Amino acid sequence: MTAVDTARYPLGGPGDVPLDDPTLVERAREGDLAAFETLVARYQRRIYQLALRMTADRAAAEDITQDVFLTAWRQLPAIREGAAFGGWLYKIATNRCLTVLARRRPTEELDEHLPARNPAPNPETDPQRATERAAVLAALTGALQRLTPEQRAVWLLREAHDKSYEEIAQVVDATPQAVRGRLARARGQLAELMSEWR
Amino acid sequence: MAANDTTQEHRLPCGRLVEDVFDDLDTGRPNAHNEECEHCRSVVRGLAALEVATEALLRDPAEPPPGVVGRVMNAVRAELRRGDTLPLPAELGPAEISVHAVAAVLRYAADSVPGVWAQRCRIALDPESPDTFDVEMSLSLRYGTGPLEAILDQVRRRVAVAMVGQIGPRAGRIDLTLADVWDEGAR
Repeated sequence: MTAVDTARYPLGGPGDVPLDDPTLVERAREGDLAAFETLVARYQRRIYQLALRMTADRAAAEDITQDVFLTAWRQLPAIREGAAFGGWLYKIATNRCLTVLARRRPTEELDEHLPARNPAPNPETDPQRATERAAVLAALTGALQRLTPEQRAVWLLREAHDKSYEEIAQVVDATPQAVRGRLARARGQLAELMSEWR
Repeated sequence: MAANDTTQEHRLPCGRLVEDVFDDLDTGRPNAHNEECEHCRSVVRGLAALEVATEALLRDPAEPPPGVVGRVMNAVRAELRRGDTLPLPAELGPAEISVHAVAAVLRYAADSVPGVWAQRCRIALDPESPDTFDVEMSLSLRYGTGPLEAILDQVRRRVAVAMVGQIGPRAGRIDLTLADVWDEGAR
């Protein structure tokens, strides 16, 4: 948990449990900024990583992340089920990414060496393995950019965000069967692209 | 969705579909062709590489830049209407207080009861008495917290104390509703 939770809600005791999404959403709807801040802190990493892998562009991912939470704030009165907050955020984020990508000129330069350019602190102790990991991640990032944005979204939601077919279907407005088909094709294409990687 | 996205299959130069090779792998069905065919072997290698890459993706250390939360909250704060205010009792001078602020104090008081999370909190001036605020609050209770009546009494007491002690007016009606339950083990 983040410092935000404990600073605002210092309930104390070992059995202390972070407030759940429905409670935070109810509070945020009534203008409780601390509750909304806790939600932002809870989801920002997931939304940023989705946007980063969708766009392969850090600045765009940061803008998208901020837009997503601001949109969420404005639309809070419309959300019926607080428990659905996470899925609802993913939907806003996926749509936002697709809009940004549709606007992008085809010649626009991408952050192609994305993972390599930012060798983030890695718990890997073996430097060779860390390098390999960064290289394979760079290859995957490149391969993902060759899928259609819609296929990329579906694959990322399933593999990187552990969403079920039903959850993904809600996010992309499709049937679970269509999601299954899209995923199979994305996986096939990625395997083909990755087979060139050594 | 582009039309080719729903119809396109991945046929290998050997005539087999990539999806067929996956099926063979998933079902563990031995297939002599796969082992000899250069194209099918390449797909199998690709899938292995994809698995390694997916594993790396799950351990992706990419963090959002610091300050995202702060920037979002600044934008939100700029948009937040201060909302309704209520007049404080006359002996506290001519002053108003935002219902957001009152709600925050009262939720905090309710949260101090073990197993209780306050959710909605509406405050209104008591029509009969201008130095009294009425409260409607919904609660989420930890599963297995009980007995209910004792807990609700405790919440009412703490809300009433916080109202008079930290804000000033007396608490009038305090309507509590049970809106949700939460389970410690589930998180």
